[in-house]
Amino acid sequence: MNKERIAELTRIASEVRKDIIRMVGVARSGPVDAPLAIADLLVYLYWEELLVLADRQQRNDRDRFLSGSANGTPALYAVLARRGFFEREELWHYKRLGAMLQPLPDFARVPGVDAPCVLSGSELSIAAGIMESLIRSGSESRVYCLVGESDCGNLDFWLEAESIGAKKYGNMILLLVLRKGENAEPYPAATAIYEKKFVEAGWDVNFADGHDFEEMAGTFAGLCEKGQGPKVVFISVKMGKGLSFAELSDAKYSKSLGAQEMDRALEELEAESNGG
Amino acid sequence: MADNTNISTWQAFCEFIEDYAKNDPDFIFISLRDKLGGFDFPNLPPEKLIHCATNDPNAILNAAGLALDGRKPWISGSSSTLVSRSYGQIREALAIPNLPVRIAVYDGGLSMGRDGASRLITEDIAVMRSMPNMGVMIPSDSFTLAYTVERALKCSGPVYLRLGQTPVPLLTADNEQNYRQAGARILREGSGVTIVTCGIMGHEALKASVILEQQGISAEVLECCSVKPLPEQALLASVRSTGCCVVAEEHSRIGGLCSAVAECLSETYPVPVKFVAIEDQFVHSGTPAELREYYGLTWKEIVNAASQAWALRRR
Repeated sequence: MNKERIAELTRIASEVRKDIIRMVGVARSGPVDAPLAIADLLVYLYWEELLVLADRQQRNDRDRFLSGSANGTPALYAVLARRGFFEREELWHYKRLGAMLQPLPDFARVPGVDAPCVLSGSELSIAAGIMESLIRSGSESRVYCLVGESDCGNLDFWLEAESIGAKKYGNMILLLVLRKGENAEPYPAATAIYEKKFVEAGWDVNFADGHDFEEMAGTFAGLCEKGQGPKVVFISVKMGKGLSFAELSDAKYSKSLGAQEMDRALEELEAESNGG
Repeated sequence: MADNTNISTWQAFCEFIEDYAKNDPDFIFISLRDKLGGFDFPNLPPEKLIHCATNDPNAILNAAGLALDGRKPWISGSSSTLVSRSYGQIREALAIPNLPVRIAVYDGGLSMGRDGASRLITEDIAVMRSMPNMGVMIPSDSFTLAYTVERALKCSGPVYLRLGQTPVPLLTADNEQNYRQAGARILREGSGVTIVTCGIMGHEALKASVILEQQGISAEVLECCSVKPLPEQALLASVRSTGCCVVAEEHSRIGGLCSAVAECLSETYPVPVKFVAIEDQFVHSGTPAELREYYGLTWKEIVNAASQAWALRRR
């Protein structure tokens, strides 16, 4: 990936971050830290990796993307709007009564959304069902499934991971988003345990910094050369990425953003995108 | 298909599905075990059967995934685990997005009576009926089984099909009688009291109607195999002519067919209504016949309830 392309993706991600701040700020409700954390990843996926077309959303040969990150939903909306799946105007009605953009994506109403985001189970199980159906149809579409570290504490998640590993779903790509560890460690302490479990279940394990486009490009490009089994990419992210005050105090910004904080955040992002 | 005059609704379901699957290229069935309820699918093509190696909640989500790619899968399992352990998954992944997944449970009601309170879930219809978008059906014999399965196949959203293990004869020898109103049929015509039933209680209602006839009360027996949507027009047509109603079901008196009928009648045509159902309690273990006797789900209770309702009606 050349520097111009990296600069372009960085610019897009900056605009996506501003949209996230605006939509959450206008709604006076919604998480900020998680959407900002996965904004770079989603921009990379929708601009570089996924085979999806906004004007042909129902093509059967498209890649499927499932987001199991409920708190990251504003980032998905902002990315889909900027990618042309629907008007950006919709973002400013986020969470309003009757609005298309509800707290969790309604797959039947929101263009570009392939599956509902479930809180009571693992999104990986829905992805497995879609993958099974695609294989039975003879499709070679890939299924990307984004989940957070909380899924790793769920026995059902690991049962599904073992089942997928045994079935050798080669086009299944799991994106496991992990918060950067303490003391500037790139991954949390439990990462080695997760890696061991995935390897034992027959998965190919990969790593990428969720804010480094060049590294993500290298990791995802290498996936197609890996074995026949499913792939998991451990994505390391920083909560509240891009906002100095949200990065420092991530717990506070997991709920909402006040009017003053929205103005401050937009000023900071504006200054950063202008090279300030 | 074999002579299905004295088999359980689950066994009739298995036979029906095996026949149906041969002619439907898109048919897909998710089983949670190699053997389902003691009856497997020897004739179901392997490519149409997915053995879920994980557990019930994951299987529900797998089914949602298949439906999201345009399929209409069936999934089968135990009512106690599917309804209780997988409630959140059914609600979020099937009901909210309104996906066409058909859930068939093989141990509905008291038919697995030996398993005790933990495994006997007598509030499953209440849980499923109160969930928006979810259809609920309870066949009573192999004839209604075929009707309900075909109806479920046409549904555009999720459907909960409650089946049982108790072998039962056909409710009526007159199988030519079709469901004139969607989801309901009149098993016996009468003018004194309407007995609304579903599932295995249809047999008890017919026995009760014979006794009531001897007592001078002409009972009309209306079988509602569709609890949601409730066949309101059939219910109202019957109750308008009889003026009172008894509801008999193998379920808690809260939230099931009893509640559905009471909700409908209280709003549109208030008449005396009596319930023959399980009280608000958990059940003990025993044989299904013992349990039905113990919890008052026999023709005797229906006769008593019908006599009381008949006495209360406006003259």
